[in-house]
Amino acid sequence: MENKLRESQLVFLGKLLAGYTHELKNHLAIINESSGLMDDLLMMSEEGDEKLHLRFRKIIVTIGERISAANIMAMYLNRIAHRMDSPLSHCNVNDLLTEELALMERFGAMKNISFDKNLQKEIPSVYNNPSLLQFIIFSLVNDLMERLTSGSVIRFSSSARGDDVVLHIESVGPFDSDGGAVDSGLMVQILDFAAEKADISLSQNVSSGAGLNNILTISSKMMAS
Amino acid sequence: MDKIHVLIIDDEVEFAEALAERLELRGYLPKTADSGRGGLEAVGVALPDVILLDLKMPDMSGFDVLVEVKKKYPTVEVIMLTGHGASSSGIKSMERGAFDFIMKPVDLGELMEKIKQAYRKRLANSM
Repeated sequence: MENKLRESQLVFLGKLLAGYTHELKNHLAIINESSGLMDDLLMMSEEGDEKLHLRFRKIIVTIGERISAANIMAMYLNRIAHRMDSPLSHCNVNDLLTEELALMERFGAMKNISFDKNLQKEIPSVYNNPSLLQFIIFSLVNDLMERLTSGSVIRFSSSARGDDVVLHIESVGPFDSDGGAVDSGLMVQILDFAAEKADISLSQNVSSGAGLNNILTISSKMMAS
Repeated sequence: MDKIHVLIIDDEVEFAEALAERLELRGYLPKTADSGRGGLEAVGVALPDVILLDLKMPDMSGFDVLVEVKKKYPTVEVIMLTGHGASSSGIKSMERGAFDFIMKPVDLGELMEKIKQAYRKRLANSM
């Protein structure tokens, strides 16, 4: 019953997020067309203060750029929300990572930690639990961000291994002696359980640069339990 | 190219009207309807060349309007407008007869290109 309750909560959260991001995109669409129309009308008007025209056009360009940035965030959040629609589906690991990191970049920026992606193009699509995989990635990245010092980098690389996909999440930089997850033992247990549920092999080693290297081997054909 | 008659069916009135005005400034002949049923009525009154159809509306889903339009007026081309982050709903629409889909917020240049392509298809199918 506990598990069912958790699943229902995830569905509930996913629906709310999907609805919110959909509405947000609608608002952005209206702002986009209104700003575009303002630009059209301004272009057509022949008389007036040239300086004022330039000022307005600059504002319109800024509105357009911000709409575009907000739209990308809303689109990624919408995709993450819809990934909770069904437990198993075909997905591209690079897409999962890209949409998730776009939303996590701000957390990194607050600690001056940057992300470096080196993703292999044309990796095979996997049939797995995308929402659970995103949870595992989030937890690993969040844990590194908690522990790394300012100026560090988290490197991501993906590659194909047969039909499966291997994802490396590696830290580059020293760890903060005071930092760390609240209860790392519990987190390891949760991650191990999640990885087993999603048919993901999860291992960790110390890389040549003395950073932590998390290796996820994601099964391409997870069977429904 | 002749002036293209475009019907925008979207319950977001401000979006539809601003888009219609921008298309009009570029030589199109747009009209708007703010509901699925209103859109179907408008199609019956004056047949458009291309319909821009929102996927999610309160009275009727865009899918249902699409199916109805293609059943009665198979040569009218429909471009779906979707606020979904993923392209799956757009692909589903194309399986049900839509010419193409475009995500909101709309890139006007991309939209006009799709409208022209849809119009060319309509002309070819009407001959």
